[in-house]
Amino acid sequence: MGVNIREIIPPTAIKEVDLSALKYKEVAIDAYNALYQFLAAIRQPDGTPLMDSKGRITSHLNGLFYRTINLVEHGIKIVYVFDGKPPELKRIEIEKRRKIKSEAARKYEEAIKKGDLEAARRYAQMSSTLTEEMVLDAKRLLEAMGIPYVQAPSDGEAQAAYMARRGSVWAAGSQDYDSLLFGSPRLVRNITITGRRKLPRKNVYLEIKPEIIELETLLKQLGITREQLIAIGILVGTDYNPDGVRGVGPKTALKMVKAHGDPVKLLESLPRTEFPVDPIEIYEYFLNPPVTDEYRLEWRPPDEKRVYKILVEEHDFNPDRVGNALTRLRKAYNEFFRGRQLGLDAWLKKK
Amino acid sequence: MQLEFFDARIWRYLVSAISKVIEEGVFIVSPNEGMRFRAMDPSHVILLDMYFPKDSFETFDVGEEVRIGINFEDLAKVLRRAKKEDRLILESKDSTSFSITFKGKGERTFTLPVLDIVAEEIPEPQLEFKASIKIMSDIYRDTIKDVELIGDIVKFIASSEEFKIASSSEFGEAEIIYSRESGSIIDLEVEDVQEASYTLEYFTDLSGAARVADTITIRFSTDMPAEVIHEIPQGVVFKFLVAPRVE
Repeated sequence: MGVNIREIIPPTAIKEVDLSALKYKEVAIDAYNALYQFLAAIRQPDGTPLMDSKGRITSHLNGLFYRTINLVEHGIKIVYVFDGKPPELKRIEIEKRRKIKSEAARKYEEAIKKGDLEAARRYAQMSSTLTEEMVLDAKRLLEAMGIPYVQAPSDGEAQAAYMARRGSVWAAGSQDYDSLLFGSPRLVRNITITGRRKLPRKNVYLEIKPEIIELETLLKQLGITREQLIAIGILVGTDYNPDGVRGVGPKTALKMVKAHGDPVKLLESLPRTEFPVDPIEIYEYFLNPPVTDEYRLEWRPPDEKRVYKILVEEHDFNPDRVGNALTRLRKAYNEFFRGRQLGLDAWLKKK
Repeated sequence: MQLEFFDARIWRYLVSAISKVIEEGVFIVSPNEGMRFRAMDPSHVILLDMYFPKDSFETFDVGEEVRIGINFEDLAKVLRRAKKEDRLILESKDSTSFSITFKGKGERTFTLPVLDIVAEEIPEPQLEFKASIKIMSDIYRDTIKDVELIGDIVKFIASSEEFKIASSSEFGEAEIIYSRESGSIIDLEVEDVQEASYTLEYFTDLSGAARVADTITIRFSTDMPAEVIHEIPQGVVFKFLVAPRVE
């Protein structure tokens, strides 16, 4: 999922920071990206997701609630951006993901029958799907918590990048690099998974820290333009042409783009059969995706009764834990969001 | 270029305070004026300004303007080694490195690289302060410590009679009042009543600088930035300007 250009990002373009470096900064988080992470990671040892007494999955709500509070406690102004209607371009990727998921679900059943818990957990993670009801619950929870969310007309990462570009937020937050292609001046990775994390299939823990990648620095270090970066993405594979061009990895793509100069001509020069859709259409989509100006970023005091109702009464969360977390949320709200820290720039205008 | 200053500890505490807010910056030494450093934190909430007049140095051997790019954490580490009664010699022979010598029971010299960075041009702030309060530096430091116990936001309220510093949180409330009669205020000039809130962290981060100051002057106006001026021996001045918080 997403475009993977990690290999060509120079280590010097990645700034590893602590969560405290994001204090007072607005970060637009790709909501689906985060919810899928929670859904995959928050599970019981055999891979069964957390569920309420009615058998409804609650892993995503658990992650959304506790993780968001953890970020807000660091003074980070989180806003979630939800995907809208997937563009027609994305149909192939969606179909591919659906197949992977149904295959994983089948293998999960097999593993459970064989009693192989390791494998069961792995396949359970792969088969996780977000239903419409789960997304709706997530939105209701955010509303009750006083955390803003934005409904994107189409791709959430495109909307987050747009908001970052016009200065409504400081950065886009996601694990994928797509928001850089969409022109976000900054991408923050690992924000929803910061902390100790178990490596898959190993009994080893890693300390994960947020990473900041600045678009301008990245382009400068690679010696390319944003348009050329988009071409690299398309060569390697995006959500709209998941397989990319055969035999082309990020390093080759970078070389090709540099040798060719003009990204459009480069894409046009490749055999059309390499792409499920017209690559120029994908290119244009990254440059001008559908976005909206209709959003309001307002951090409100948490409605504790409503949060309690959703989590404890509807979904059987532990009332004490929810109560404690709500106290922390209220405290963080009072500390960071009730007032607003101004900058000095307004008083430093040149004469 | 060679500068000699009578008390290395003054450098130690100022640079250590700066290093908590800013990573890098440029010392500008000019033959006519002395040494100046001005920089803002990355989020542009605070502006630091440190000035050593030419006369504050016992030796001031500067041919032409010298700019020294500093990594404050590294410099603070070296300066932490300053002992009581140590004098400080700052020397730069070329553009790639500079050295710090502590002159006391011996001469201890450390050489650090000069960072290749450009000083940010920061315009002079256009501000008129309606409240100005001068207090002893130890009172200022105690006040910050008191408030720190309670909250993360500090509120200044000043009238012609008193200067009040307050903070509140879930944990409780703190209110510290210095009135004209109490004798702790050296000078108090306030138009009407001025009231503004600030993020306490900037004050606590920089409170170490007050250790080497004689007096502190706080200037602010309602919902406007506050300036905290540290008056240090030999005419040395360290001040910071911090943007307010609004509800």
